Amino acid sequence: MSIEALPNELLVQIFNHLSWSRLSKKVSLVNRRWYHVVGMAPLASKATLNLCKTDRLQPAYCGDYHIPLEVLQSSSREYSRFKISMHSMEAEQLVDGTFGAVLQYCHHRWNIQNLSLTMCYYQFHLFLRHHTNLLSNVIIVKIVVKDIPPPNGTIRDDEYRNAFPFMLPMEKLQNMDFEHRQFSNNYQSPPYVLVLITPNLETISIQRCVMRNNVRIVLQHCPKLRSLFMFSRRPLRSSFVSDPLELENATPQQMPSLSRLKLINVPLQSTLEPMFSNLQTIYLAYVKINPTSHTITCENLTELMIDSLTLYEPLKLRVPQLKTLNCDMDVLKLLHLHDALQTDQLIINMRYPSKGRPMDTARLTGLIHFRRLFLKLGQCYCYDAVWFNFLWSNLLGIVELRIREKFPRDHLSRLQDVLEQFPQISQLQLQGTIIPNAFRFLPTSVKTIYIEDCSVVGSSVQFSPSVQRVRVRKLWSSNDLPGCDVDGIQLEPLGQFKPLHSTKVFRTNDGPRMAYSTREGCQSDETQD
Amino acid sequence: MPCIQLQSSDGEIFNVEFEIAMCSFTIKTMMVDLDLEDNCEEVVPLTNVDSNILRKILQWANYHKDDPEANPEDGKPVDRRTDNICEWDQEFMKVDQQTLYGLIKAANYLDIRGLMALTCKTVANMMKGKTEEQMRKMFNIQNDLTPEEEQQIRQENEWCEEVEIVAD
Repeated sequence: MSIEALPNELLVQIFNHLSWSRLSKKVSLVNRRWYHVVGMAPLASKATLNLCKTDRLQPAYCGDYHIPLEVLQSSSREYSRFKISMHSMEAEQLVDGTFGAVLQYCHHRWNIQNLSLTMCYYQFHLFLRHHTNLLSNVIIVKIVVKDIPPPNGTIRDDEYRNAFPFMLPMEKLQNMDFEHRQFSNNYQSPPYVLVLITPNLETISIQRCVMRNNVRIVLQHCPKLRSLFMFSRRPLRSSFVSDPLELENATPQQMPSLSRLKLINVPLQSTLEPMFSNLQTIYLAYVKINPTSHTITCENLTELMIDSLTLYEPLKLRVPQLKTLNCDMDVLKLLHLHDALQTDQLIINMRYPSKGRPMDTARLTGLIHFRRLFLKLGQCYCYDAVWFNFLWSNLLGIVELRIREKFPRDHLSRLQDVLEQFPQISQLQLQGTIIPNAFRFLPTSVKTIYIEDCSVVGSSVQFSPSVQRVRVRKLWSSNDLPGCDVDGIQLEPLGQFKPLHSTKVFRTNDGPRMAYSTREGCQSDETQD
Repeated sequence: MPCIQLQSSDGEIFNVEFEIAMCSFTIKTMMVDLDLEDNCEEVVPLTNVDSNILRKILQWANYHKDDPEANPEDGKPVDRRTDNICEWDQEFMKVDQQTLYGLIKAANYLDIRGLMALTCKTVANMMKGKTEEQMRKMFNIQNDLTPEEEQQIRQENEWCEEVEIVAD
C-alpha cells in the first residue's frame, strides 16, 4: 500500500501536523492531489490570504500593491481568513479599480469568516460604502483605522459628514476588535459613529483615541453581547472626552446584558446601574466614574478588579455573590460593599502614596468576611500606619495571609508590623521578599508557612514552636554570594525541622548561586524545571 | 478478565481482553448497539483490518490500556506537535510504509484516537525537512504538476501568511 491509497481525509489529518509554511512551499508542490488536499478548508484555515502587501524592497510610495486577480482565479484553496492592510492606495483603485475587483472576487469565491482590516480613515469610509458585502459572513473581525490623511488633498468635512453614521450590519459576527489609531496632532479625521447591528456579537474590544475622541460606538442591536473591553492609549483628560458608548440613549432592548466589563483609561459617565446589574466580572483601571448616590446592586458579580479610579463620591455596591476583590489601597477608602457574605479573597496592591484622601469616607464593614488576604507590597513607598492598622483591624475573617515583594523602605520592621496585626491567621505565605531570621513574633495560631523565592541574611531561620509545617522553595541566603561559604540553611527549633538543602545552582545577576528548599520544595523544583 | 473475540478480514480470531478492545470507539459503540457487553461468545468481525495490522494494534492497545482516555470535547487544543512521541511508540513505529498506512486506515476505521495521532505524527515527521522532490522519492509519487502550475502555486504562496506557528 502506498500513501496515495489513503483517502484525502486521512492525508488532511497527517498534514495537520505540519506548519502552513511547509504545506504551502513543499507539500503543495509534490503533485496535484497534494496541492488540492493542502487547499482543503481544515488546512487552508492555517493560512491568511493577505490581499495587500508591502514589498519593502520597493521604493517608498511604490511598495503598496494588491494581489493579481489571476493568482486568485487559479487557486483551488478554500481560504477563510483574509487580511487587508492598505497603505497609500488611491480611492479610485479601492472603489472601481483592480483592487475593488479583487475584493469582490474574494467575496463571491470564498466564505470570508475571519477578516483583518487595517486602513486609513478615508479608505475605511470608502470600504464601507462600496464593499460592505465582504462583511456579511464574517465571524471574527479586527479593524484598525489609522488617522492618516489621503495622499492627495484633504478631506472635505461636508463629504464625510454625509456618511455618518457608519453602519456595520454583520449578522454572523461574534468577536470584534476595533482600534482607532492616531499618529499626530497635525491631522484629525472627522469624528464618526459606528453603529453595530450585530445580533450574534458576543465580545467586543475597542481601543480608542482619547486625544480627539473621534469614534463612538452605538450598540444598535447586540442582544448577545456579553463581554466588553474598552481601552484608550492615553490617560483621560475628561474635559473633552465623552462616553464612547451611546448607552445613555439606549432603549432597554438595546442595552446589552454584559457579564464581563473591562475599561482602561475610559470615562464612564452613563448611569452605572444598567451596566453593572448583570455583570460577573468587572475590571476598571484609570476610569472616571460618577457613582449614583444610592447603592447599586450587582446581583451576579463574583470578581471585581479596580485600580486607580477617579472617584469623588463613595461607590456603593451590593455584591451578594462577590468572591474576589482586587484593588489598590486608595480605592478601599471609597468603596462601600454591602451584603458581601460570600467573599473569599482580597488582593490589595499597596500602591501608595495616597491621593490625600481622608479616612472618614471609608466603610470597611463589607470586608469582614474575606478569608484570604494577598498583599502586593512593591510600591508602598508611603507607610500610613494609622490607615493600615484601621484597615487590618476590620479584616477579622482573614485566616490565610499571602505577602509578595518587599516594602521599599524599612522592610523587616514593617513586615513585622503587618504580621502582628493578624493574630487569627493559620497560614502565611511569603513570596519574593526578604524574611527575618526569627519569626518568634508570629501569633501562635500560625501553623503553616510557605516561603518561595525569598532571601534571608545568615544561615538560619527561627520559628515559634507552634508552627507545625514549613515548606520552602528557593530560599536565597545573602551569605551565599561568591566567595562566601554556606553549607545550608537551618530551620529552628532544631529537631522540629530538617535543614534546607540545595541540589541546584541557579544563574543570577550575582553569578551562580544556590537556592535552598525543603525536600518537598526541591521535588516541585525538579518537576517544574 | 472478560474477553471479546475479534475476527480480522482474513479470518483470524483474536481473543482480546474487554478493557483493551474498548480503546476502539468503533468496537465500543458496536458492543453497546448490538448488546454484546455480556456475551463473550459473540465474534465481532472487523472486515477492514487484516490479521497483521490487528495484531500490531492490539500490541499498541495493550501497552496503552492504562492511558487516560482522550476526550475530544474537553476544550484542549488539538495536539499538533510531533516531537512528543514516547520512546516505546517510536520503537513501535519502526515498520515499513505499507504497515504504517495500514495502521492509519485501521486506526481511523476503529476510531482509536491515540494510535491515529501517533501514526499521523510519524508520517508528518517523515515529511519534515524534505524538499518536494525528496518527498516524491520517499513516497513513490509521480509529479503531475506542469511547470506553469508549479509557478502558479509559488506565486500564490507569496500572498499567504501563517496563522499559527506549528513546531516544524
